[in-house]
Amino acid sequence: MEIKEEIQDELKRLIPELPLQQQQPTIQAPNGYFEQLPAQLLAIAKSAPEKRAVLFQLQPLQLKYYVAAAVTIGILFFSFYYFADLASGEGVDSINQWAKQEIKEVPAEHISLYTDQTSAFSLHATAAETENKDVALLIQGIQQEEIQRLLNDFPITEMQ
Amino acid sequence: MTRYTDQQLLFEFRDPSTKDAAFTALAKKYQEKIYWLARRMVVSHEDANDVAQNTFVRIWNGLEKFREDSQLYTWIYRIATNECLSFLEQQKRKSLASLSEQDQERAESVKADAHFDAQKLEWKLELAIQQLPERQRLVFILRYYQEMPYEQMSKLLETSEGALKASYHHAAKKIEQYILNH
Repeated sequence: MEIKEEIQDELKRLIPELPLQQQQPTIQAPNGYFEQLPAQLLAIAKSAPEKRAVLFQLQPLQLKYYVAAAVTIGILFFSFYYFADLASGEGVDSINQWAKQEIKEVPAEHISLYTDQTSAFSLHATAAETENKDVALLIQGIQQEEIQRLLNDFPITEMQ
Repeated sequence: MTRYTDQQLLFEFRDPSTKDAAFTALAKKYQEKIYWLARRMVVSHEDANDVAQNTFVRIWNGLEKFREDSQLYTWIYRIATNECLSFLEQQKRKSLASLSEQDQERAESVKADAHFDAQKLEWKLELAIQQLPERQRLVFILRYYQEMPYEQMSKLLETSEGALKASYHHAAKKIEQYILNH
């Protein structure tokens, strides 16, 4: 069955009141419209910018934003990883391990010398609390004439 | 040139030396079908002209890459129907009027036609079509005015033939009701 007949049969059943074929066209296009349209369409199509399917196209300004975002995200990830390590104690342990290793390489006599000379300051907060043996330690190795010069510059009453 | 088949038009469009002539031939072949589809969907000539132009610009831009998975005819109609529906969607978004008021506005546009005759059944049909929901209107126009087989329409609208027949049936019953009441 031809499509036209099929549609007419269908309409006859659905809307018996409807004309099977339009006797006269109702809505009309302006005179000469279809004669001019193909040339117009060609001109419009050739001048219209092509709308391409852009998969991922970055403008220079956008690129800056993406780079800045990537760097920020990188810093955040690094910080998170680092502080997460510290919080779990693994980071502190690794620093302790490193410090222990470094200290092992320092000779024992150097450590002893350092701790002996600084014990007066580390153990006592003020000069008034400083004991005689600490003073003896402090002035150990200083030439007699240098002590004499210090005492001359600062009379003993001022030092007290 | 208008006697050329779609295959020939496609072949000539892909050749830069015959591209313009092939496009002009294609426009001559399909312009009326696309214009009348758009005209009955959007009603005013100016709007239908805009829809037709947008459709052909899309055809120009996409035809070279047309993969021939479907027939050229179906592809062109798909672009045209999408353009019509997009246009109506844009109108809805722009307009402050309700949907029923928009239907009324379209009916008023039909009545504003210089040849309008309220007594003639053909004009009552034009008014009745404007009362239909968009999809039903599209199915009715494609079937009644464009004489499109359901099989073709099914490929075009990506809807089953059964659903299209039901849609056409509902549309026809609403039109019958309108004609009887006016």
